[in-house]
Amino acid sequence: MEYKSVAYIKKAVLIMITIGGLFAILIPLIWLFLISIKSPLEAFRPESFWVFTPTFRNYFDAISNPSIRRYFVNSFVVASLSLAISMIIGVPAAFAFSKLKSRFKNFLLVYIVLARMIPPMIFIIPYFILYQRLNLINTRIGLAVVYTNFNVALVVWSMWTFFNEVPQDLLEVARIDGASIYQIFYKIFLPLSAPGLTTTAIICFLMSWNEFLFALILTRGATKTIPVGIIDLISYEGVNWGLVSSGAILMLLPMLLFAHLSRKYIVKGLLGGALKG
Amino acid sequence: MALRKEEKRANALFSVPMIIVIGALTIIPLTYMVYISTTSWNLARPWGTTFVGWDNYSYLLKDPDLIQVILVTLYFVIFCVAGQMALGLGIAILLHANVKTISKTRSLFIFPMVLAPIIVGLVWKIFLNPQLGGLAAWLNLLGLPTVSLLGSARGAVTAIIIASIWEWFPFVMLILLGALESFPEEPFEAAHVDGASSTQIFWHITLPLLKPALLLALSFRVIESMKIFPLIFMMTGGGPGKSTSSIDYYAYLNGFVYLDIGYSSALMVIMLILTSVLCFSLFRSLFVSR
Amino acid sequence: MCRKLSVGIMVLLLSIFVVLGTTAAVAQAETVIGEDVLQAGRPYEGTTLRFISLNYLYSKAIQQLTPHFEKATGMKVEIELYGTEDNFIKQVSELSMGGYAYDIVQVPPFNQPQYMAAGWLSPLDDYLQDSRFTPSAFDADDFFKVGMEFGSREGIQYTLPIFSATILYYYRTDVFDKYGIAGPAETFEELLDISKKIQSDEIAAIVLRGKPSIEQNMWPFGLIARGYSSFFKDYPDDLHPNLTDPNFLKAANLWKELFQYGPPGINTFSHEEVILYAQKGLAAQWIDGHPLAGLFLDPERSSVVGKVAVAKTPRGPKGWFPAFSEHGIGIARGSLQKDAAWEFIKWASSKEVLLEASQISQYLAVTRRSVFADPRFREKYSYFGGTFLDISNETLQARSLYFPPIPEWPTVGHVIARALSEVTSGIKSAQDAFSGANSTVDRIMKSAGYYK
Repeated sequence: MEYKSVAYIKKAVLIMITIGGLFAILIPLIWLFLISIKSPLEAFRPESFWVFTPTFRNYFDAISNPSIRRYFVNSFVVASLSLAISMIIGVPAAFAFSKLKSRFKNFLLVYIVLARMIPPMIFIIPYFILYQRLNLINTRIGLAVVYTNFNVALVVWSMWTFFNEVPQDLLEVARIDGASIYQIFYKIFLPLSAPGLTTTAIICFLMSWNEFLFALILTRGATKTIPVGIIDLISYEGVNWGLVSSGAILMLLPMLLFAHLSRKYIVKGLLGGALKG
Repeated sequence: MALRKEEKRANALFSVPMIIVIGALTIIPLTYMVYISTTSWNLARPWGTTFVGWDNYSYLLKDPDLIQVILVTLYFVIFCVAGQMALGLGIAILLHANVKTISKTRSLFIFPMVLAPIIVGLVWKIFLNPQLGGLAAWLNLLGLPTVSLLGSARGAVTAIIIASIWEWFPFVMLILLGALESFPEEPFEAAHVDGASSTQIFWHITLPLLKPALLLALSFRVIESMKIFPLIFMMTGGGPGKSTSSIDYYAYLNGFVYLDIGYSSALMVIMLILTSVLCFSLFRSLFVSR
Repeated sequence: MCRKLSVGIMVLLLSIFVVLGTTAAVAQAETVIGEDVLQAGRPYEGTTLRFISLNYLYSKAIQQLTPHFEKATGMKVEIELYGTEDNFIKQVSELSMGGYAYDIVQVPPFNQPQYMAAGWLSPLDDYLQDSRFTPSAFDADDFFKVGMEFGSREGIQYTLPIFSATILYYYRTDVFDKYGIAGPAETFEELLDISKKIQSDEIAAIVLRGKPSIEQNMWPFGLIARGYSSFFKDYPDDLHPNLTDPNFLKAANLWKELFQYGPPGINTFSHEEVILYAQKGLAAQWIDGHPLAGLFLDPERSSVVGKVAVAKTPRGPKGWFPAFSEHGIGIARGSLQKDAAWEFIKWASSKEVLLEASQISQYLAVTRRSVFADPRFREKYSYFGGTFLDISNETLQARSLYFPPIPEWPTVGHVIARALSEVTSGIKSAQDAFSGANSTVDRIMKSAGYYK
């Protein structure tokens, strides 16, 4: 009896800590949301921090602004393209690194991390010159290709660890049954690692969805993505906070949707699935 | 024999596209950048560009700001990563507790990571303002005095570290949570039977088991924390003074304010070499520990 | 339940994007504004022009008026707006690589000499002097002379003025009354005294830009620096840096002292915070751009309407050095359709268009005498009981050498800005910070070839 109530209290305390922590962490976002539903007069006025008349005008303005809509579409296309390319080239490579013999495996695994490590600052000018020659500036595919560079490292690393978790025996058994390597990869390994694929995909999408510097340099008006679009709302007459805050909140929505749809897999976690030590 | 042949072909088919794409995307621009670093290219004086060999690198040694810039970068990396790891670990363990209400909040914790870094900078700058921002209102509600972080050198560094920890702890949390979920039950049950306290279990079982995941998270975070540019760019502009100028902000300053692309590239080459060394040693420990 | 929710969210998102996907109808005006300066016969019909600009009052107003230009010429104009933080990065990377992506460029004020010296702009003299390209209705002499001077280098005109900005001294009349202060400060010492008097917990005495950059803290600091000393020994004859001059250090220390009466965190304030502090009634004085005046008088944004007054910026011992900055509009060197681009530049800086822009928006930094004198303009901007226009006109016409128009200024100014920020945040004394900055500037000027 006593033991049970102790466990009960412990549970209650844990829940309280979690909720408290969650709240503390979300404060900046809650604040941003509050800004987004205030009128320009009330936003930032200390006395109207808590008491104000909520308005959804900012959201309406953001959604009915044709260029902001276009930036959203661009971001979506670029992020999806980059995700597709990184997955198509990254997942099979991870499989090969994990289950097939490869001489340069270790070197390549570290090399691709190096590729991710390079600060964007470094690459802007060379890429700009290169893309100018190739006529890739102001194309969505061009931007997606740059992001691929950063996403592949994550794809390969996380899928590599997930594939490592699948016993090698499975491969041997399937092989004895007469399956080709392609079949084994496609029919056995891919479905088995669905959780890993989902989380990796979300993180990759996120990175491309949020990237700023390359998007600024390698796009022009028609292909601008949404982070650049929002930063461009900063002008000398002050930041248009209504659009900035509502735009930023709208930017969160697709990611939330993904996170919600894959919440089961998020529990499984990124990369960690196989790290049993 | 046929199997070996098939395996070889499959191996090539699977990994060669990745190698070609990543190779092309990194080697060409990298080579070009190393080349730029040996020239006197100034964006505003394109006609005067000449090959200067080691000049940009030898100026690095004489640059009065460089030491400070490197120290600031290291400071950022150490404190940001430490904070992200600690908070990420704490929350991962909290969320791992077998309570239904808690596990439902899991996906809410990744919110900060979902916001674009550049917008995090924009938002946090005003958020931290003691009069306009949200932090002050919340502190007042709790009866605490308002603090002004961004004004002083130490405060600005702290503010950026806080924003960076806030933004990226979910990454660590996701990795560790995944690892925690996949632990075998047996060692924990055995420890319970032996009457070990939960602190003992944490130090002697959980932590050793978590080591690879911790190392992996650490490596990725160290690498990414070198790229703290968006936060500095939006929040402080490297100031007050030079107190928050990290190496990549300094490279931006040289490249896009002073327009001295040659020197900026040399800085970046040095930074890349430094990070590679760091990265290789970290990943080596990761491989060794497996 | 959860599935339903997510499907719901998805449907909502999709419908938002699809339903509202129809483009907003552009209002068709009957009269075409600015037609009198265009060439007859629509010679460039079908051309598409691309204009890269800072996102600000002028460009937003022009964006609204562009349908007039398109209707009159049959051309299409794509205007791309970038924010204050990223505009320069974008422009530099595009222009310095010599591409032909943009035909028309808005040139940031402090970078005008740099753009011209770097050869990023195409000379305009051939167009200006040729009556085939420029009808007399354009009247280039109508521009404020100082604005035209800003857009020329070594006798060649590269840009036309589109946005003349200066700095004014705004103060809160209610606060001044409360503390019994007779009137605005006339010297910087007085400014300091007033700030000392009115500093309180409820309201910061003064708010200024403090983030280290040529557009931020250097924007108001230039006034004090020039009022007490100068950045260079003797511009234009002797370009050795003058940052260790005792008077210059005095200016820096005064600036530092002013900051003590500012709100906490002022060291990293950009224009954004200054505007918000002013609008929300959190500051009693602020020294900032005159084009922003409308923001403090707009009851939808500002809670201090009716409590603000303006004055000329204070003077220093050396005299009155008001600020002046001029945004220019020019043709990119790489443009492949310069003749057509000239049509747009001409139109976008013509009398009718500037006047109309000032009417449809808060754009008041007009660059033409005739617009400034126009009754419609004077009526709309008779702010602060009409004193505003006279003060800003006097300030704009003062033609002080607020910053030296040399191509190296953006670099030099940034070095000074960083040193200044070290001083205000107490990292270094003015002496230490500026002796370091002095040698850096010395190296920059030497390598630019001004002296050996």
